[in-house]
Amino acid sequence: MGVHENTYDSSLGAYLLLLPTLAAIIAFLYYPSLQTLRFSFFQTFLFGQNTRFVGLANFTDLLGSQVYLTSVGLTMAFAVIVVIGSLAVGLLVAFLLYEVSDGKAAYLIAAIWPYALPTAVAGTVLLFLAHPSVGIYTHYLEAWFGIELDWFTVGWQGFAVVTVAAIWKQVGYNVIFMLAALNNVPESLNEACRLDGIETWRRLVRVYLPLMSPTLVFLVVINTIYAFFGSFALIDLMTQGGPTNATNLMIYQLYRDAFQFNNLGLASAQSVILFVLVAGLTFVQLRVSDRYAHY
Amino acid sequence: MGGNLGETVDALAADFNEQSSGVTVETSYKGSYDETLNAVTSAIGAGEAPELAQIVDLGSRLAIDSGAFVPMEEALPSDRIDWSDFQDPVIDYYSFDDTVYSMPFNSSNPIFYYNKDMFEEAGLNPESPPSTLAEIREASETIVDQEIAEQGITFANVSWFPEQWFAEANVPLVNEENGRAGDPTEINLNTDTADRVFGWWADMHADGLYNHAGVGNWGAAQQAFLNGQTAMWISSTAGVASATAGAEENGFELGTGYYPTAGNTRTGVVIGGASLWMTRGLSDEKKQGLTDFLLWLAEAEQQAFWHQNTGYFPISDSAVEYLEEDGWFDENPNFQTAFDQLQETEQTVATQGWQAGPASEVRTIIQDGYVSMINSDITVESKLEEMKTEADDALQSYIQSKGN
Repeated sequence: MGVHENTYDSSLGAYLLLLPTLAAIIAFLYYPSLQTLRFSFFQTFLFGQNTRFVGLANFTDLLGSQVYLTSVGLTMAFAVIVVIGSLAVGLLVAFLLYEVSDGKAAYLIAAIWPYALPTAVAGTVLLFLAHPSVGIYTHYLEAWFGIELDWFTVGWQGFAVVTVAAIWKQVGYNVIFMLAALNNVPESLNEACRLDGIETWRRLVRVYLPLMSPTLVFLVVINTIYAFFGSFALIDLMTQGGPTNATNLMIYQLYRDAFQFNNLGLASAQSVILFVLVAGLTFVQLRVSDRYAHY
Repeated sequence: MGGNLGETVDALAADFNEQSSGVTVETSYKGSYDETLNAVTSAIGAGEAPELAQIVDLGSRLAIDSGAFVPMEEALPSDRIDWSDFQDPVIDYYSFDDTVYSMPFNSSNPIFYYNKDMFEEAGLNPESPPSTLAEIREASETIVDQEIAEQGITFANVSWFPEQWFAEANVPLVNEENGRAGDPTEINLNTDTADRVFGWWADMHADGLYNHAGVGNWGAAQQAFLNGQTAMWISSTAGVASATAGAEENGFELGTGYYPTAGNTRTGVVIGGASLWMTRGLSDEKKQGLTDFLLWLAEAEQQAFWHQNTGYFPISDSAVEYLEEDGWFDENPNFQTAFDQLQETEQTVATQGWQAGPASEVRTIIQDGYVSMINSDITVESKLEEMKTEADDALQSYIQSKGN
């Protein structure tokens, strides 16, 4: 004990060691955040040439804009579906992988493959596979089931395609963590279950889920952040926010305003709103889950 | 520029570097027109603008307003360049207040393509393509009724096409002389031309005659036409070379015609593409090098090479003569169509093409607006009203943000 205390007897040494990390965080995280906050009160021309202080005007404009409010609602719906969907599918796949005894490694690789694919590649590939007029999926959907998909034109179809793609992309990540949690279940519990003759699904819901709860809480938070920010590449490559804003998530609207329409002030305000929203949601999730998660 | 076009750009740069002493040109690919404009505007913000930037046609006003570029006519010594040798429509497009602001580089027009074999099969005259929107509809009905193709026509949902229908009808898209006299404040979506164009376009989709390739999806439209899903296609003349090759590969005879008009007025088409802008405040040495490069690029021989490999127009009269002597147009009638259409264009405010700072935002409003017309119950008239309100807001807030 005493030896350790003596190693860092001056706090100066500790600060020196922290300096590189702090410098990087300040330069690349805090400074841009503060700059974003500052820009959110300005009307800007191009990339910050001619700025004019406008107070809260960017925020009031956004909250009064039908397009923006729709985008907020859409993002919420998207996040709920993606989080629940990718957790549910991930849990199912992880559980099946846990139960299966033959060819486990092959199944595991197949399950986490999509996650290993860069999002930009996944988006481009899916765009062509599911393309309304020249896609393979859409061709067979029409040939075999008579279902005509035109998700370049029909809003809800565009939303559905992007949602499915986002879930598919995230499942692998969830499977890795869930499988690790399942493998931590003590063998004695499995044995007890077997002796008591508890059926498979009951075992998952009543025994494994409570034991996995810390991992699940973590995954809910990560998946929420993914739904809000990580889906950008899919949207940009597949629908560009369309058809008619049906997939215009907040992160995409922000990108449009900043980089396509050169409205940095307005985009900064959106960035602030998005930050507050996600931070708030994460806080609520952690607070609520404290009551249910067993550590 | 990417793909075949990018390779041609690199070939030009390499040729120049080989023949020049002391000056080396480096090219850098920044993605699509929009992405390049972003890259350039943000580089300007960071004080790292490239010496020469290729900027999309409708980015011109933004480029001027950024204050980062020097007008080309001031930059290039008048004794070394003869502006009158350039094609009028091209040079007019890039002129503001009678000054040429940028060096036209890749210039194209929209053109009408059709599958002659399908026309023949449908009993339509393969030598007389439709020339108005109404005729396209008739031809589409004939073709779809006989199940020769799934739909009559396809083209990417890009605002460039409706803009051209305005030009053909000699109606400016925005006020302030189509944005040429100053920053426009209003878009003319409350005109008969707008009703006619968007009404036709929406009805064509509703009646299963138009294949909606998606917003900005040039490639998908080309693919749908080449693999026989549609009998007609509208695209840029810049695609003539690849469309000719594609039609041959798919075993059908390709026909081209003038861009169809909304009514009976045929004023002409607007130049599209991009031009080269020179950054302000360069050293004399760099400026000298750039001048050499630009003048070399404008020479007939390079222009002819560029045209033959891409389909973009040769921009000078001397380049056209060079190509004519070579017998190029006789052997390539599809290029001839594109070129005749350009030369027959009357010079008016409408065909000079619109300009506005927030052009990219306005184009998005137009493209998305069309999608709502075809995927919801909203009528074309009320959607046009909504689009006008949104676009006018964008135009006016640009003026406000520019300040000064």
